[in-house]
Amino acid sequence: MEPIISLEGISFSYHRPDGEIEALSDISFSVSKGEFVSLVGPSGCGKSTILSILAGLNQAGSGTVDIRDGVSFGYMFQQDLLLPYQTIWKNISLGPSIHKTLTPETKKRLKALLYKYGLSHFSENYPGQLSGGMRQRAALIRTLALDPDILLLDEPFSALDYQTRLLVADDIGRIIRKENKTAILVTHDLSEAISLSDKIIILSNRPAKVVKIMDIDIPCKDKGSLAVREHKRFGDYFQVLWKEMNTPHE
Amino acid sequence: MSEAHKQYLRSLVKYRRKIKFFRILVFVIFLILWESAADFGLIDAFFFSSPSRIVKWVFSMGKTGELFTHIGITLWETVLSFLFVMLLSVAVASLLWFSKSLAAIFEPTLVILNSLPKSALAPLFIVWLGTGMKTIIVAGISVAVFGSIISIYTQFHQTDPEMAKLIITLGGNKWDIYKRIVLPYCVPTLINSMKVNIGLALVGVVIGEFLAARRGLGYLIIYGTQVFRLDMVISSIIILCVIAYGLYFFIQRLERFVNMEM
Repeated sequence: MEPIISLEGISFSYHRPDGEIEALSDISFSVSKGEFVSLVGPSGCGKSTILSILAGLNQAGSGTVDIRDGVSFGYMFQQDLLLPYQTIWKNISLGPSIHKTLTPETKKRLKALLYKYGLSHFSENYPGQLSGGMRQRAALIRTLALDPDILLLDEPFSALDYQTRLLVADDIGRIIRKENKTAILVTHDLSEAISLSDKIIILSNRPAKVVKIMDIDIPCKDKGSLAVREHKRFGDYFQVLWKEMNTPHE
Repeated sequence: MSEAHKQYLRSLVKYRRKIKFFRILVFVIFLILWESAADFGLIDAFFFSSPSRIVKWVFSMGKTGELFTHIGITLWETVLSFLFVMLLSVAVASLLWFSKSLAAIFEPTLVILNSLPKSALAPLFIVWLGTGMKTIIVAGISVAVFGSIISIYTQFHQTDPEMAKLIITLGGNKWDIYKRIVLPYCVPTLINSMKVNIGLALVGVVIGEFLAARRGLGYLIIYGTQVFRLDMVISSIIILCVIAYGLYFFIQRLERFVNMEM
């Protein structure tokens, strides 16, 4: 399939008064439509920088970012970043309200999303009244509200406690598959990456290079990440990834 | 509700009543001591006045309505200064937030102006603006405005960069960040600076009235000391206490209202 995004030889450096920090060096990979791709690597290696470049928050130093025409991005953060002084409804309609596209059709779609993902009773509640998992779901609906083609997930589960984290990752993974979105997930949790992805891109220490690109072929992906975690191949993939990440690279 | 909780609530009510009672008691004892000290000649009532003299003075000035003019003038000047301070400081702080360079350029200026004793400026205002309400309001503004700009700007500046990033990724611009994140997050700081500013505006207005007024409580205090009518001075000071408390109380009510709305 023709890729929806392709990166070719991307490098990036942060400039500070006390020097230059090289974050990315020669990153190349591509993502096809509907694919769930994870970027894994040691913490602080520059994984999130790749998302920032895709979202247009940062400019790549060199290399080419090729994004198919008309493709839009949605971004999900580590924190849910829900505005505490506004209701869930106001929060999830933030994107359309900024774009001034909060039409009756959009409202209907948002209500359907709330209903589908079990938050319709909470639309008039404030974020403080919701559990961590529900808040992260609300944050996902806020991202989906603009109907983006590609979701950029910047460690969206890492602020949750372990049990919630498994459930929310499963939940959100299913939603993304159901909505047939393309997703790029940044994580340092190997099992999370395996349980959700079609493809894993392993990055090295800073400055990040692509160490290996691995396809994950586990048949029960539609049943959610918890089902994948129980599949017999899950452990094998984990072993391979673990070895790959702990082998020193040039 | 359990019996233990009921008992707890009862003891809470009792405690609050006790505090209120002793507050009033202390005040009454103070008044009695003051009055009797003056009556028995322990203090000279000519210099220290006494509660009965104050009441008399307030009544006689109140009857002609003269007192209310003075109170009204001081209140009006204070409220105007306060409103100008809030408007100016939000406007300037916003401007500084929108332009990082502007903020960097003016930071030392603001710090210097803020630490300057503003009463030193008051004589200058008289030369520039003459004696009258304009000078007094400017004096009131000058006392509060620089500190207020600094505290509001500091709060603006502390906006979570992730929140700003969220707005950008949802397609917003800097104005959206300001309107949707920066301003709403600043509401508690705004109310705190209101509390500070209403008091400072009163300080500035009274300083202004000392120097450049024919009316107002500050004028009564200065005039009273010049003609040795200490009843007038002390009464005016007490009325100022009441005004200061009243204004603070008003802002506190506003805070409660806002907290309920948010």
